[in-house]
Formats: sequence, structure tokens, C-alpha cells
Amino acid sequence: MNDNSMDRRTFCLDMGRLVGGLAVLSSAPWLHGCTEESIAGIGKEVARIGMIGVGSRGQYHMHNLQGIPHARIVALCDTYPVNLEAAHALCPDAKTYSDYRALLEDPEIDGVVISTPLYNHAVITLDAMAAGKHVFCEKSMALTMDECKSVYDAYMASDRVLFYGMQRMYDPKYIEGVQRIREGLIGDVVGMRCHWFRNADWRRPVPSPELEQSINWRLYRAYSGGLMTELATHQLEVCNWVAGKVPVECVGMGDIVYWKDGREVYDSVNVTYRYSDGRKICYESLISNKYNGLEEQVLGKKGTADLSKSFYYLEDDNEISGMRHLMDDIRKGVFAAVPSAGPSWRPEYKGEYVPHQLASEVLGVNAGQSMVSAMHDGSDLAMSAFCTSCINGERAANIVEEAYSSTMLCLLGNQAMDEGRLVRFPEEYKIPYLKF
Amino acid sequence: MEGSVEYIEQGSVLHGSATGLMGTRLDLLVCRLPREKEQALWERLTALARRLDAVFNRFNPDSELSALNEGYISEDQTGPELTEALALAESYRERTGGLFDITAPGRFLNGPRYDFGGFAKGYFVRLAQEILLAEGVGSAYLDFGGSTILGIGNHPAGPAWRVSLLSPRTGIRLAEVELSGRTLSTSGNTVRYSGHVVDPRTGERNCRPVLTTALSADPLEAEVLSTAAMSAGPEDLEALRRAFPQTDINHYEI
Repeated sequence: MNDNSMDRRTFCLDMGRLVGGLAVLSSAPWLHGCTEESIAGIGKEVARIGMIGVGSRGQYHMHNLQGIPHARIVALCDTYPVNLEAAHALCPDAKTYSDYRALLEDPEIDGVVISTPLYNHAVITLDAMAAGKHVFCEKSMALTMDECKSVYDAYMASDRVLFYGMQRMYDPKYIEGVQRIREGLIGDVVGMRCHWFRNADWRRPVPSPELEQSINWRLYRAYSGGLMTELATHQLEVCNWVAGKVPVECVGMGDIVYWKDGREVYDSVNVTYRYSDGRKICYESLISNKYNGLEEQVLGKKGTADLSKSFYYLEDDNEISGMRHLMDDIRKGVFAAVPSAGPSWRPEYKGEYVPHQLASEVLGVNAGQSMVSAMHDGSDLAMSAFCTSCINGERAANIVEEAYSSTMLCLLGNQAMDEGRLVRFPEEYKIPYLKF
Repeated sequence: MEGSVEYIEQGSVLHGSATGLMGTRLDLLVCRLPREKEQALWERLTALARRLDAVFNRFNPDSELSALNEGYISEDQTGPELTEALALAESYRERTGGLFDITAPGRFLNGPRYDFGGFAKGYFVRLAQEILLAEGVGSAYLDFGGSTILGIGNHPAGPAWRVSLLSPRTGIRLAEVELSGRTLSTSGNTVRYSGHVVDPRTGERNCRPVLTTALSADPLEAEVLSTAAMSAGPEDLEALRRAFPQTDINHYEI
């Protein structure tokens, strides 16, 4: 494995180039593991990683790990031989296991990456930390609120590192976008709208009927929280990151509208979350129409930021068509050009706004259609930070807490939809980190 | 219609603003005249816009155009404005080699016959210009929907009215033009609003990221040619420029 220090620096976030500079670290303290100092501090040491779950997402993480100089994949585990063989082909030197508990007994492993179905995230995370391993677990944290609390409590009682696959927290366009919103770019934040639309059945091919639930686990309630825990969890985390707090209650409706193929989870969800100050997150996901794609809109008094596309739009751009500039200039006795980017004649539907770039450099925009991954979405940086933490033992601030709160919101959303009532954040699941 | 008026004493500048006229927003600045006269001009122009809206707005089921498109009236029963407009539109269809055609197939999903998008705003601004000049206005700026902008005379603090044309996708400046007795018309596809211009020759909707402009002393010609240029290839564009040598026509990839 290459341990060249120049290569390692490709996994540093250049704080000097980010909007907000080092101030970003106060609003996103988990990024300390991505600083040049942190990477330099691990010298030439390498984190020895065991992969638990090597399906499509696990193999995606393997590709990222193979590009990280301070990482080495030493073990692979999967209960599905097809996946294990494919992963072994990618990494022939790694040991292979079909039982994760056997992998956890290997003393030559520093940390594990868990990319299994949601229903066993909690048990494997707990077992791994108990075995002394550092853990990177895919989102969401767990399938039930009790499991989330168990994992959080175990983490607090442990000295192990725990990361969650919430890549937006490491995506420079989100980091800069949230920073600029906090600096007042769009004025007071008055609400948020997030949606994730696809037009696909969310299924994978099944070679044999008895494998249906284990391969298409996302569709069955014993294994999955559906669209909320698979998609919404990322977006709700961003909302809380922006708001600096967690909603107190939610209502919602969920249905199987189109894909009536025996699945148990909703293919259409609408959930509204309310913060204590009255601001709301309007969340929607539907997988039988993709017109609206993936968006995370932060609504401000002065403008709107779409963090997913890294654009912002100012209310005035739409309101004045350059006329306010012109009138202001006339009042000041100034002669200047009137800005114009006018739309054509049309009925007054939704206003037309001029998009402005939000982040200083946008490497990748996720259209939200892939079931596996997107390029340059922060996943590689997050994995690098995990490996750095495996080496220096330093925990990334707030990651577990953010994963906890977003997962809890997903589960509360599912509860609200299932029970058809307003659901409040339960007192027994409130942890000290959460601000309401 | 909703509207407002503001007034700046220095330079005697009246700014009238109204929404809901021909489906969009109208702004007028009139300068250096008695305030009462400026107010009267503003009211006259909004009344004109309301009247033309009742004629040309195809989104208004009660408009004269809707009556024509629905077959409740025939071409020989139209009022004076619509009659003139139909004749002018036919003339432009011929002169643009079919690049501008209010009867183009594909403009409507279900087949109404006439669509004055890309025409009616220019028609209004042409009439408005005639009124303003006839009333002795020496300094005015009229913005209709952001895409049709007329300048008369000069800015209170400058030698002309100057407009900076921005890309509706990126906000980057594409050009800067001076309007003194000229109208700038733009047409194009933006992030949220795309595919509204149909190539009359093929019926296909143009969804390409392009912006066209036409700068002319005749507001209607500016409006028509910015629309026609949306469907023009490089050779068509040159043909348009030859046919309308007094109009500055541009095409931008955005």
C-alpha cells in the first residue's frame, strides 16, 4: 500500500480554500480528522480494515479504501457467497469469513466497515465495539429506537471510534453551503423542504425465490425502515445541521401507491417535522416519478439554498427584474447597467430565480438515482477520516450524535405514518447532545 | 392586476409596477415630466396592457384569442388589434422564412391554432412607445416581464439606459447594451423554464441551454426576432440578419 505523504494529503480538506476557513471546524467539528495536521500525525501507519457486508455498497467502500494510503483491507465477510467472491476478486489478499463474529476475533484487524442490511447494524456494531474494534457503520444507525439508544449508550461507555456513513457531513459542497447559510447568506432560515424522487422499483435481481428477502431486504419491515432510513436519513441530518437543533414532533402519511409487488415498506412518504420554534421540514419521497429528483432546500427570508445542487437563489433576483437596482441607482444619482436575465412570456406559475453557485468548487452533484453511490460525495473523505481515527484513536465529534438524531427522526416519521397521528420525540430517547 | 407606484422627487422619476398583466410583470419609469402627467401615462399604459391581455392571453379562457382558438369566432370576426396582429404575424412568418410562426404545430398540445407568445409583449411595447413619444416623453424605461425592455432618451444620471444581460443559468454577464430609442428582447431556456419555444419547422420543443437577443428600434420586431432566433441554425441566423439589417440579433450558448 502506498504511504506517500502527498497521496495522503489528497484526503485532507483544505480549510484555507473552504468558505469560512477554519471557522468551519466550529460548525462541523467532525472534520478535525480531515485536517492536514491530523493526517500528518498518523505518520506512515496504516489502518487494518475488515469489511462486514460486501454487497454493492460494501464494494463501493472497498474501492474508496483501496485509494486511501493509510488503509489496508485485510478481511472480508458476507453471508452471501456471490458477494464474498466478488469482493475477494477485488482484494485477493484479504481473509474471507461467512460469520462476522469470527472476523471480530481476528486481532490483526483495527476497524470494521459494516455495510449490511439495516436490521443488523446495531448488533454487529455492539459486538464489534465489544470486541475492541473501531467501527464505521453504514446509515442508518439501527432499525428501532431501542437499538439506537443501546448503540449510543455503548459508544458512550466505550473508548472505541464509531463513524456512520453520512457522507454529506464530509462533502465540501455541503460543508461550505451550511457555513454560508450560517453566515447569513439567505437570511433567517424559516423552513426546509427535502425530497428524493426516483422512478424505479428499488429491487435487485433475485437468483432464487428463497433469497428474495435477504437480497431485497430494503422492501421488508423486518430488515428495513424503507425510504425513511435509506434516503431521508441523509437529508434530515442536513436539516438538523443547518438548524442546529432537532424537531420536537412530526406527522406523516405513507402508502404503497404504485409498486404493489408484495413489498411491505411505503413507496410514497410525506412527513412534516416541526421544530420547537415552529420551523418545519417538509419531507417527501416517491419512487414512481423522478421529475423532482433529489433536493435539499433551505428556505431563508432573503433566499433559498439548494444544498444538493449547490445553488442559491435570492428573493430579490426574482422580485425586481433589475428594477430595484435601477431605482436605487437613481436615488443615489448613480449611472450603472441594469441587470437583466429575463424569462419569456408565460403565466405566473413559480417564479424564476437566477441560480448562484453556493460552494467555491463543486466536484459532484448527486442526481439521487443510483442505489449505491455518487462520485465525490464525501464518502471517500469520511472513510479516510475513519481510518485516521483507527490509527490515532481520536473520535470524530458529533458523528454518532448526528446519526442518532437523524435515525430517530426517520423512525419517528415511520411511526407517525404507521399510526396516523402526531408523534413527539420521546423523552426516554433524548440524549444530552440534542437541542430541541 | 396588482400594482404600485413610487416617486423620486429628484429628477421627477415615477416608477409604476404591476403584476398580472399579460401573464407577467410590467415596470415603467418615466422621468422629467410633471408628476400628474407621469401618473396619467402609467395608468394609460396599464389600461392598454389590460385591454391587450383580454385580446391575446391564451391562458385566459375569456380572451378574444381563446374565442378564436376555440372556434367561437372566426378570423373575419376579430377586433382591430387581433386582426392587425394576425396580419403582422403572417408577414413575419414570411420574412423569417417560417422561423416565426404563431400557428406552428406543437405550440399547443391539443391543437389550438394561434399563440402570440413571442409577439404580444412586443406588440404592447410598440404601442406603448408610440404613446410615450406622442406625449413628449424624453426619458423612460419600460421593462415588460424582464425579457422586453425599452429605453427612451437617457438615464437621469447617464447618457443612455444601459442593460447588462446576464445568463439566466449562471448569472454571468453575456453582454451590455445601451438602449436609447431601442428595445432589447430576450428569449431562452432557463433552469426552471425550458422548452417553451417550438421550432415551427419541425414542431420540436427547444430545450437547449441557449439565449437569444434582438435589439431594435421596433419593439415588435425585437420580440419576434428573438423568438425566431431560438429556432435558427447558423445559416438561418445569417439569413435573419440579412433580412432584418436594422436589428442586432445574437445567439448565446448558456
